[in-house]
Amino acid sequence: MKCYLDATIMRKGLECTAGSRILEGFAAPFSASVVDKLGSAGVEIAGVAAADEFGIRPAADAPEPGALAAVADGLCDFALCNDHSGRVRGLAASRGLYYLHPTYGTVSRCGLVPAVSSMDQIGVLAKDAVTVFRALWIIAGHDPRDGASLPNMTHPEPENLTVGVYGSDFSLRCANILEPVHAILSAAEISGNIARFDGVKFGFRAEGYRNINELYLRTRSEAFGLDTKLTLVVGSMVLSAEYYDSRYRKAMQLRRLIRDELLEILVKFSAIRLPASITALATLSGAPSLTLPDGSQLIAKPCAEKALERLAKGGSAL
Amino acid sequence: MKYELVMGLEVHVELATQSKLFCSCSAKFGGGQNEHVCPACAGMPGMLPVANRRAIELGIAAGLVTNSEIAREITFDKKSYFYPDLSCGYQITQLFAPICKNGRVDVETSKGTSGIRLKQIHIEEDAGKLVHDFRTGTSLVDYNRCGVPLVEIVSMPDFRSAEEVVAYLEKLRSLLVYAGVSDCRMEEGSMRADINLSVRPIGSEKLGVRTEMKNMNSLKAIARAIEFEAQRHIDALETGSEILVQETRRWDDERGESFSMRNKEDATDYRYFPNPDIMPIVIDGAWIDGVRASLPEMPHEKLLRYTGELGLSKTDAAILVRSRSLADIFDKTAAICGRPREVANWMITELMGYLKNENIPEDEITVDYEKFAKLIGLVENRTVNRGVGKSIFIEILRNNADPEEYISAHGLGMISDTAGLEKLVRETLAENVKSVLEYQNGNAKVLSFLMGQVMKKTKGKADPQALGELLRKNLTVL
Repeated sequence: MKCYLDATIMRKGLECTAGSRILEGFAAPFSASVVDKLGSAGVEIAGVAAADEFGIRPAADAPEPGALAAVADGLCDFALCNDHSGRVRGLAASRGLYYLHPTYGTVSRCGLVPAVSSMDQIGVLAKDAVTVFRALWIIAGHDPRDGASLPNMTHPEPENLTVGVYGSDFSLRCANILEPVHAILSAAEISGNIARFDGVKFGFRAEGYRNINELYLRTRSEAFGLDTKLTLVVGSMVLSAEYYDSRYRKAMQLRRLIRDELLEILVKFSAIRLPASITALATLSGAPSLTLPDGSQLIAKPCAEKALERLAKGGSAL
Repeated sequence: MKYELVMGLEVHVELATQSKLFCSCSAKFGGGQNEHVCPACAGMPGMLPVANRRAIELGIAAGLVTNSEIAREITFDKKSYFYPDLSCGYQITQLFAPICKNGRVDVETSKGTSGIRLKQIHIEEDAGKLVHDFRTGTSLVDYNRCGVPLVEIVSMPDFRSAEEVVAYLEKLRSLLVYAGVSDCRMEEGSMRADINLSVRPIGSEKLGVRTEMKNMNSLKAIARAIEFEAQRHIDALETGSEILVQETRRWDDERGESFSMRNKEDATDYRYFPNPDIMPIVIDGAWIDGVRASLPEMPHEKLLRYTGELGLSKTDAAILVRSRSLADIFDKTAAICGRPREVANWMITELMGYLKNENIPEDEITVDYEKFAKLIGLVENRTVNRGVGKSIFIEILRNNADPEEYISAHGLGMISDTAGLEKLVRETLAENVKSVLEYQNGNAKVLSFLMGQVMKKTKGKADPQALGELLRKNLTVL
């Protein structure tokens, strides 16, 4: 099989930009765990797909992530992306593609340029369900170098598969807070993770600075895109002493309620079906979600990838 | 107006682990520039933090020896700010759930014992080091120290004098070195103290404006810094020569003054939030018990045993307990020769003097316990006299000499042969008629002079007991 990696997955000795100018010329010092697994499985890495800067969803019109064309145009069998923003999932349907965002902790984050630490997962984009899951089982697995890596990869074989449909079988009390909670927590964590990019140690460094503060300001102003800067502003604000309790801490508490609501619904069904555009629900809850070419998505309980696999391959159950 | 000094301390101590807090780089002091560095501690993306178990255990140990409450579950947080010695743009520390709280360290000063309350102890990573080249105007960063585990021990503002601060630091150091938590060397930077200081009129409950002092690299520098800063505060309040502001000040020991660091750091919002990459760590009773069991006998426990069971005096015991090296020498040597009082005597009268003369720090001295014990035995069984024994002791300390070999090689055996000694005694008395007359006139002190003269003739090897008897016998006969 051939695959494309998006620009946030590191390969030793090769440039890894994470879609940002600030990592121009940065040669990865080691390869991501998933790259090692792909190698062991004999998968050829055919290319690197352009990604949104740190996977941040652009506020205005912007080119779509390169992984979509790479897969749709047959340049590779599947592509690996970090879809913490949900943008790839949102666009996948329009391209007639499947996207699996795994249970948080299923795939190692070691060697992934971190964006939203508590939501980052390497997912699979492909033309059909068989390929999606073939790729998933290659890249999934416990990694002691990732503290969030699930220790016990038990993926239960599902029995009677039931699917709850959004609107008729269940509703979402949390529907209107999904985006704000996701936005607050993403911005906060990204702002922490990209603080290391300061022009001092590696990557891009601006010219014409007279002291360290100018080095920081010029480097980060010139090399970060507008969406990243907006994320930094929001991230800094929600973590600031004045707003921490009312924004960040509150969002953390609401995230817990969102996850609780999802798990409650999933007691009754093997999976639920809802519009693919509602990406924050699965992302915030750490639950696996499979986007389908018809514009819908299936979400199952954490570690229930096999249920999604059966449903996707079954076809008639939907 | 009389003022009261109010101080609190934040002490940073480097943990004695092999590797850093969140990566497997060596935590050893020194090393070539950027030698102990990996993608994680150099701030590169892609590596995730993996907590060092030993560091947590040393944190628990630090809590146990300071009578602190150990947390049942701990988390780590990100403290964000920009400075070149901080490779990731944030320091991993503990704000929300520190490892220990509410400890207490008892401190003895000339005014008695005071209990210093500890607010908390938390584990965090150290930053790197900046090296400034003033010729070229460039600064270079060395990340060897970045990520090395520290505990920060925060006290309540319970200190009222420089004497108390110094005594506390010495006590804290002793506890942590004993427990194996750190080697606490201020000159190497493995122990650093920042002092928060304010003054207020005696009797006032309200705290005055406080300043934080950094960069004191020795206990003496700390004492000087406190004296200077307290006076600066008092002068400001009495004469209005300057306005006191809450700020961080840098102590310059050479110039004997503190200088404002006057940067926006004081107003920095660190935007603390829990580090999502590090899962909460549960510390259960079994783990704490295990750490407690692995701690050696602590100084105050030794004091009780030395003064109780072994019958040593309080002063002697206090000296032996001052450093773990001294206590170990005492315990191990006494265990071999079974004569604790003798061992204590030798250490206090001979060893302490040797350390002082040779300028050897108390916590760096080692002795071959077997040889030391043997020497004591040889003196006790009268193979050599005490005077000769003292010089052999120096040979053991300096050159690790074997006492028995040394005695036979230099013919140092004690001379007790009465006939031979008596001959020398009579010789000496004949040579010192004046002293004999003084003795007969009632001056008993002359005896030690005469002893010394005979001793010289035997090159110091005479049995002092036999010598004394012979002298007295011959003096009365005259």
